[in-house]
Amino acid sequence: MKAIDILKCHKDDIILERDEDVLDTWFSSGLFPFSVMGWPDNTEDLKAFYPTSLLETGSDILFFWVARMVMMGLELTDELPFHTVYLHAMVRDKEGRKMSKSLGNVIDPLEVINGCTLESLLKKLDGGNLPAKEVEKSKKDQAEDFPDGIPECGSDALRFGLLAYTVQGKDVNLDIKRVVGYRNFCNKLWNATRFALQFVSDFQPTDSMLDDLMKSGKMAIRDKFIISRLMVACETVNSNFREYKFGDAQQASYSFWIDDLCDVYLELIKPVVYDKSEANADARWGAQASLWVCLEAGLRLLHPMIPFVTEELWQRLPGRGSLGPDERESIMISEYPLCIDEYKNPKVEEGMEVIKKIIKSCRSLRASYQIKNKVLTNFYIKTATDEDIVKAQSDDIKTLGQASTVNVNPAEADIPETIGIDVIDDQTTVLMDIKGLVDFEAEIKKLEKNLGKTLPSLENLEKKTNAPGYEEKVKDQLKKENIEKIEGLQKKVADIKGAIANFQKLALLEKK
Amino acid sequence: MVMQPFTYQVSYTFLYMDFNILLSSLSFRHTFKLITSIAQTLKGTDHAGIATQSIVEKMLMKETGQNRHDLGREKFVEKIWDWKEEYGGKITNQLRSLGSSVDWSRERFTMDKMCNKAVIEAFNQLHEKGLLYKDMRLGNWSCALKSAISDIEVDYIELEGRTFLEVKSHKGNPNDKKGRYEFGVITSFAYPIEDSEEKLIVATTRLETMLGDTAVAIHPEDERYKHLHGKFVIHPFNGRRIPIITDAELVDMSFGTGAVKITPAHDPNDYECGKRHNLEFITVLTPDGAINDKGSQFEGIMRYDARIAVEEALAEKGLYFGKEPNKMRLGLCSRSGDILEPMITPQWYVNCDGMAKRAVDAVRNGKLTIKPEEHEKTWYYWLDNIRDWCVSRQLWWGHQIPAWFVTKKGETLNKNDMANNNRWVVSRSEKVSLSTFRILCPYVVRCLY
Repeated sequence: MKAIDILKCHKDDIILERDEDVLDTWFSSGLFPFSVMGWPDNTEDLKAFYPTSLLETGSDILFFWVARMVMMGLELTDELPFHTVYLHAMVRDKEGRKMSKSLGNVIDPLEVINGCTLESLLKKLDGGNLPAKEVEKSKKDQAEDFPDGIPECGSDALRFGLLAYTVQGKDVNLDIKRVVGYRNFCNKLWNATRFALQFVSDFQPTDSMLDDLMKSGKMAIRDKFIISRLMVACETVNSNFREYKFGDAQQASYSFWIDDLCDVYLELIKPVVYDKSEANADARWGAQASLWVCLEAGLRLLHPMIPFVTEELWQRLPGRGSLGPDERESIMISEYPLCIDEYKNPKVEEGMEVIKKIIKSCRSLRASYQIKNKVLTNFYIKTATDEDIVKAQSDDIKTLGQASTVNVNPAEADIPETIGIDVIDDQTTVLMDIKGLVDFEAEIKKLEKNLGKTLPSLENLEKKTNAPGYEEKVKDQLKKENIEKIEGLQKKVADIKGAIANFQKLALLEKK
Repeated sequence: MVMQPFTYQVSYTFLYMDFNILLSSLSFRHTFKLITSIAQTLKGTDHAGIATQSIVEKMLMKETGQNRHDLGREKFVEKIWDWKEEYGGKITNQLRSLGSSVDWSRERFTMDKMCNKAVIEAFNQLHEKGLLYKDMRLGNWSCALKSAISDIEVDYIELEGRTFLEVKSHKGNPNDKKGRYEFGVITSFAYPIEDSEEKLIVATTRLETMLGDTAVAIHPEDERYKHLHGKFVIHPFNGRRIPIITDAELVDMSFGTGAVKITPAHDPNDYECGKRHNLEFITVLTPDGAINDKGSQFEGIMRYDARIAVEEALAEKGLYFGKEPNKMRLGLCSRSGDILEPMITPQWYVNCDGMAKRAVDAVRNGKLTIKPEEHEKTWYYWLDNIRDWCVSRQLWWGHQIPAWFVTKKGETLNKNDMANNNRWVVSRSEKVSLSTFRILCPYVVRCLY
């Protein structure tokens, strides 16, 4: 029915007056998932992309926005506009207050990325819309929080830092200083990869490097180990992403880079890569190929979280531009690394755990006898259950335990008497020959000095607790604490005395 | 290899720059892009009506000392577009710096052509379905914004007792050093009963609303007042006869004197009471919160200054009976911080009952997943208790409502009279063309005046 028909008059006699009001902002926002694809027209975009999959937003607008989109979507398109809603926590300031313009505690991401001086933080407040009184208050807060301004952190550190905070459901009380801490990780990633790139500078990867490596028969146990760790990291990170556990994904990728790749594998392969002899050629190739695979895939694994540095490093990998038709121009459009189950190797990983424990034991023995860094030592390892593993990786123990020799389950007669002992558990014991390495007299003097300090405290305390009236006057809590102190001191005295006796014995043995 | 075969994710950032949402959503969005083989992320900005208009208004005032009315609607909206271009650019720059990988070729803005078309279509469709209607009812009014706001835009503060607060757009309370106004007290005053020496004492936390009182309610069983059934009180400032009514629903005999003043146009409970008893609805405030021409000698005085003036005037007449601290809740406008007034205004509403039920069912039957799951109960709570959505705003920045009021030449019809709701027509065409108009079938027509 037309307006003319209702009013029953000529159209020239009709006066139209448009409603002056506007619609609530959330009315148009509620249409967003389909309005942006061209609805109500049945466009190619609408057909291809609607309904969407995931909506990611802040929990504070669950009703304002999310509910309105769902309602309008169902009413106007008869479909849910998305099947999953992920609500991230709110970023608050480090005191847990909501970031708001009126509080003046809002931080521009660019100020964290590029860094800024305190002056510019303060100047921005003057240019804002806050009343003069609040400007003064905000200035004071800023000066307390950032006396030297914000250091340049870069996007990567900001992103990685925020992800680290992202534990489901919890609000993020953002302390910029923690983001500054993640800048150090980015630096470490940069330095470690650049260092590692030296190891593969003369390496030519193949189009299908991982598969070729696994088929090559040239892999040492450590190579199998790091590839297995890479697979596990890919598996964990992918599954964390699927479950929206962003903090866990960040943690898993961080841990692969730092704990496995940098702290263990890079150290283990140093002598292998430096040895360019013909006899070592296969082992060297195995190490280089494994390292290349780990760097390449490890960078891709990190890329969504740390986009800029990873792209830069990935472009510097040897072989870029020669990897066949499927090679991607940018890490950004390359595939996300996936776990290949058959390349996982739990047995090798378990073995590496044993080896790492032994290495730790070797290092602690060296530390307890204060062996100087470049001095190599002879180790004797007694193991009831892991003889094969330890024998197979004795070269890795040599590398990281700074050993000149590693003798596994030696005949008792071959073990010298001048040894330091560290018992790992009831299956494994590590022994280190200390002949000629320790100045026993000096060590005994140091220990006696320590004993001289410890004994009087013990005696004093014992005297106090035996004094008449102690039982009646002193509170139970204090008595309990004193008993614990005495036990601690007694153990310390016994340990020192034991160590002195041990050195005296060793000194005698060495003199023989 | 494809893990999630398809993800199209709509992402969203406030035009009003908001660090938290910006940052957290970005990291995640980017992550998702790489895990999928075909994934797209769209950057959309909304026009943030109230927030944006407020910012530009403040800026205008700071720079030129002008308000938006000095500039006029067209020029003011132009000014907002300029600001939007500048600020929108800043946000884009932030997104790029953060390493966001959105599809820049598909950047959208809620007031661009494409979104505009959808808004008009949606308004028309909802209207055709009988879900969108114009009504005069009591809602939240922000005097600072001179606009209605929806229920969820209200922030509540609890007052434990007598509290002094700053009030916008008021000259300041001369009785307080800092010029703040008194809240959290309940004031007692008396209405003289018609043709009698007797007085009926009532109490209120919002004394100025007595100017719009149209009844005094007592409990039908209250022995103290049985002799007053059917009688009237006389308004002390304008001589209006005000009926004494009995209402067991509203009146608690044990509270105060057991007599309750009723202001149907300025209080939600009184509004319902007014509908039950067919009372007069007298609005006593102007849109900016001053007393209007219904307020006798108080006309033109801002609402909280009027509170003081009414108290003084009552005292002069010997009708003032003191005040006491009173625990209460105060509704604030989340956009402007101003104290809200319940006001009866003509607004457009969307009936959300059916859609809300579908939205609840979608989560209950697992078709829509909300993560983390703890938010589900909020979802149910809100949507199970949904009220019709007030979608009109008395602003200049936003999508102008595609509805026209039709009159014949020579006719003088009040468009705010709900009896004339059949003269509203809704159209899809931005350019007004008579042939495209359809008749509006008012979903609810209620005449309160």
